[in-house]
Amino acid sequence: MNSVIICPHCGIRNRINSNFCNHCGADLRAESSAARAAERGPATGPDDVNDAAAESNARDARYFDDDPHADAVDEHERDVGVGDDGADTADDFALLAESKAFERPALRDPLAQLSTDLQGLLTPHVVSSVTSDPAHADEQPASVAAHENPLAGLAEADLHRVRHLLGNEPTLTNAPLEVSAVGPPTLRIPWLFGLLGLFMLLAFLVNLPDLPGQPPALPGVSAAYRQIEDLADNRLVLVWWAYDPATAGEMDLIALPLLRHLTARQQQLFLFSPLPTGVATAERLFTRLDAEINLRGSAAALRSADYLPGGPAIMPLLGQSLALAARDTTLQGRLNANPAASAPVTPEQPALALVVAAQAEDVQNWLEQVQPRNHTPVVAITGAAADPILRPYWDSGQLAGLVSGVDGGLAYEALLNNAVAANAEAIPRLSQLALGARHQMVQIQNWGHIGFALIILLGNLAILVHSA
Amino acid sequence: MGKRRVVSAKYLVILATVVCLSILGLDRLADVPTVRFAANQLLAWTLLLAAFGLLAGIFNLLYIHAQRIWRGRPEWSMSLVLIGVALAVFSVGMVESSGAFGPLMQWVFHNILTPVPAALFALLAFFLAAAAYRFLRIGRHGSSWMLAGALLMMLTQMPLLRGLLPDAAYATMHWLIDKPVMAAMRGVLLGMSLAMLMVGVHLVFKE
Repeated sequence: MNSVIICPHCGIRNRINSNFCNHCGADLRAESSAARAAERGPATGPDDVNDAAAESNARDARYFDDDPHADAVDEHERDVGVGDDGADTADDFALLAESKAFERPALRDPLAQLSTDLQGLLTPHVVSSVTSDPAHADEQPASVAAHENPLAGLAEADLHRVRHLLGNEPTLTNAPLEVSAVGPPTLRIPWLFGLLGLFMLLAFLVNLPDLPGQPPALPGVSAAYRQIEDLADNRLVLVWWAYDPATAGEMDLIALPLLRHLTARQQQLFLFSPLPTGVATAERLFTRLDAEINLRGSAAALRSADYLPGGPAIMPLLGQSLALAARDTTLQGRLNANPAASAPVTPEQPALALVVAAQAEDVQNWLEQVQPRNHTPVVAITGAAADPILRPYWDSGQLAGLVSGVDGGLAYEALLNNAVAANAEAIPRLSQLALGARHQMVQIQNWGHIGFALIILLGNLAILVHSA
Repeated sequence: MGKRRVVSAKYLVILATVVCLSILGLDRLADVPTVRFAANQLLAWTLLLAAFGLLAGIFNLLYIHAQRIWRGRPEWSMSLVLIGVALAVFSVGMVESSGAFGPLMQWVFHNILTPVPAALFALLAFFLAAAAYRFLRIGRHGSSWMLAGALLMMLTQMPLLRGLLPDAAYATMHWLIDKPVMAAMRGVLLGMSLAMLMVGVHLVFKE
């Protein structure tokens, strides 16, 4: 009984019914079907016929339907009797290269080469699966071939060839197989990690020069500023807090200036979070804000904070009945406890919604589930990675403001600082501690970027030197 | 008999799904007070169900790991640590007079719950660097484009180079994000939504 199948790509054992390899993700459907068929013996019954058909389909599925060469590859495999036991040979591919179906004009002019490179982005190439010498394959018993690593019995030269084919660069089936005698440059992980670690250390030791200019004025930042600036005092601001400081620590830096602005404008924040740690994260940030602006009491702006289990499914409730979402005891209760606050505030009609989320999905969910119900303007505070996804919502007017990434946070901070310079009484100044923390964050970002750029450049340099 | 009961239960589930969908769909399309009330009640029940699910998940986790320890399965000591830590944090929350927002609980959150996962998550940068070194290479099919795009994105968002790069670089970056990247993202989102819809329909009406 075959209990495992060997991946023809990496040689790792997988369960017999696996569709894909656990190690490299290669398509194993054909191998699974073949192994099942082998277990049952010769195809005699209708089930076997179905299995054989499934195997054939799976083999076809390894090639893309829109690939004009796929049929030819399959046809050729059947002609030369190539099975799924990894017995394809270099000679087979030489034959493939010679076959008329694979004749293709030589890509010599730069435009054609450019097109080929672009094609590389769009269509995964059919990777050559040359694994063994046919002479050796004949000597190997079928049972051994099915159960053991098919690379085990290969000569050193063949192994080198396999490493080149599978480990370095996908090779077009119609392209000549070029095997370098030197081999590809090795990925030296310790050096790589050491280099990145060094740059992280430098961020704490060496200060790079100050920024030459202001952060770029990203569209959406000034609109977010205006939204908050134009609010009347003591309005209800709904906050959806959906980030975890452990995985999105930079969000602190992006959210702080907006919270500082809201606090200065004496708005009342009612916070809901879909994360169990969301409330603690928010309170932590308000405590930090207290320390940064040397003004005790910013935390008082946070009138209510609730954890809402249920994820996106529960979000419509925030658009329809805030009191029900907060169970009447927090939001409604706190409003009633403070008549001065409750007078201008209608719990069902927030003046502004602030979505603080590292992922774009949270903002999208809010715009789809909540905003159509309460028609409240939405300002999104997100990480840089969410910006491309959310930009169309800003362009279409669904978002009233968009502050994304550390750059967005710094741009907002610059707008606030300008306001402080113009009217010192309205907005409290940042403490030296806060300024230092921001400077440190930018330094870390600078050094990290330099490290990453160097690593990519070194990788390319290594490959160029190797080619030369 | 048992099979008939299963089939009946399945039809009940489908019926409940259709009723809930109809109420929430109507509520979304038209502002009818009765429907709004029913929709709000359904959503409030969702809150209760989610809270119950959370508790059930915690008990399930504890049960599975307790069984693992009891039977001495591989890495049972890790399960012991998990249960020990869960009980310790639970005890802290119960002992504190102000519950989850007491100083001790805040200390646990600030000094353990946040920095430990953050440290683990930071390791991602190293793997990202290894992947960038391996993949973003001139000469690999398609990689030249990826390399150019990645470098452009990185350099234009680098605070150190702010103001030093030509405006065309920033304009190109914005064009890339607004046009091709956006189009691709929306295509993927649309495809995912359609696929999820089909999977949902398939699950509900499978047999």
